[in-house]
Amino acid sequence: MDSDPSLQPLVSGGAIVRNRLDKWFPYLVVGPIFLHFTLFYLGPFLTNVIMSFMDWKVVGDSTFVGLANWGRLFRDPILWQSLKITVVFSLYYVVPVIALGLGLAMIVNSGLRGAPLFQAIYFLPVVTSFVVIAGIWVWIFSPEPFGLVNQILAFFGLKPQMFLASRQQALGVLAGLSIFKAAGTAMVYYYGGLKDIPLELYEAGKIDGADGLKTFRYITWPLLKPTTLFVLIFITVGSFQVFDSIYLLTGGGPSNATTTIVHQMYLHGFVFFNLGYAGTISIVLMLIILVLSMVQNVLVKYDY
Amino acid sequence: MQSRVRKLVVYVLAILSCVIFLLPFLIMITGSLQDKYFFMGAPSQWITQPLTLTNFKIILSRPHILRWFINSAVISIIPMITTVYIGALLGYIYAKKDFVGKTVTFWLFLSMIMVPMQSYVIPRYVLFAKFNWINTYWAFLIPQAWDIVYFFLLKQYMVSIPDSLIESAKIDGASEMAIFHRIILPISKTSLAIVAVFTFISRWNDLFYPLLFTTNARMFPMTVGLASLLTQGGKFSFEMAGTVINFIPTFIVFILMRKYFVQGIATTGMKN
Repeated sequence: MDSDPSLQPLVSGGAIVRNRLDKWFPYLVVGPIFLHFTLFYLGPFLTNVIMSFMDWKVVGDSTFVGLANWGRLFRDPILWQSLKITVVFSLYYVVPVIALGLGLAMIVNSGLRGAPLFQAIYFLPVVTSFVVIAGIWVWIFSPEPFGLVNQILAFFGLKPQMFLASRQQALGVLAGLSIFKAAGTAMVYYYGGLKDIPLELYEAGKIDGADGLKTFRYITWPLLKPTTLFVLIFITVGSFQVFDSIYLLTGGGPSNATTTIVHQMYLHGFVFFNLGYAGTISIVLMLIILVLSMVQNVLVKYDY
Repeated sequence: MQSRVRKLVVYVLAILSCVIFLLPFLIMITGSLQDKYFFMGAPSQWITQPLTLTNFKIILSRPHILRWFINSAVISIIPMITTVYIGALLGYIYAKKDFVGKTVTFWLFLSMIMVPMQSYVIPRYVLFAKFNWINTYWAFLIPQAWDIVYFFLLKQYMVSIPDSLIESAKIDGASEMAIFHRIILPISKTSLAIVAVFTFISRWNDLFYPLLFTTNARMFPMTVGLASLLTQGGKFSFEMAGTVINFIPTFIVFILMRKYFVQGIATTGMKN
């Protein structure tokens, strides 16, 4: 839209002063925000790196301790266990979220009536606080015989289970909560992915005589690969940061069976006030997330 | 014939999964409305018990609960407004302006996206302890005044705004701030709404951050307050009344702004 120069209003003196001010406009905005960024994001992060080499105290002098925190980290059996638990949690959580997300997206995308309503219902847990769902989860998985799941088990003639009070089952119950909460997110991504698949492909498949299962295997699933890759990394990164449900439902127990990296970091930092060590744990977490993102970048680059 | 069977299967699956997804919410609502020990006894008793608002009366008479609600509102509504405004302003500048240091600062912002909050929260805690910001709103309103991820999202959108629009306003003598307020903000309405709803929901539902920065029960937001009731182990019906109160604002926002959630997730996905 180029306007005729003769139609432009003459630039007044005031406008010239304003234009001079406008030259500084980016600096006037970016300057303070960058300062804010340095003070509350970048600075604390760099401090955290330094902190991992120090015995850091909220009050009093902090002392340089070299690699003591890192040495402790490698010898800390509970921390290694928490790493293992986090990985197991990830395995429990990631595959069901992907399967459920894709299944729900296919339902919503199948052209059934009231699809937006169904989509909203599947998405509802995503916008609901962990605190809300955790409170309900306690009741559903109550170890007492009258707990909902135990009643269902009793109906099939099975014995009541301990669930959150059991070393073997607690992590699975927690993963169930997270699956319930995250499936809706995966659904929305997959829904977008399904919408992008050209309909002609399905028609061509039909002409070639492909049935439902074959269509899924040779058309839908391969074409959703970028979506799956994205959801996979996104969900995995999230699973390494799991904390809320553990804090609310088990506190890491029974006997450390559900303590994760972030939970260990919370305990060392904000319960024992071992800030240097907690900072070291948080850097391990960051490195894991960094590696996951790099894996994603490599996979995207090679179009895998 | 085959397609009819398929259709039926899809409907059955859709409704079945709806029931499963709604069941926890149904338990929450019926639990909060029943006086007796809701969770004891046979399933037939869960439905036949009379409904009552006693649980809400009792929980609302507890100390602090209204305060928790107000705290939650303050630490989610104000950051929502500032995150949208600052994110838009910054996004506009990085999308449309040239200035010294643009690449370096942008690269630094970008690099911090990879860093999880856990990796800078401890030094921030030490800093705020020095500022005497623990147990104050400042611990939330100042550091959460804007968000790097949402700045990127808005910048991404603003790149697509045609330059000619800005140029013609400039020729008409409009100042930069006038252009931003009168052209950029109205044209970005959808993106701004997406950022607003996501900021509100994530701040309202946040547990980890306020758990660290509030130790005084008066300063708890709803999530931390309810968590303190939950981890103490109280009567289920009270807890459910509390969770209903916590749930209602997010539910209302979700119902009113539903389309932005779906759109928002789709755009953040593309961005990554």
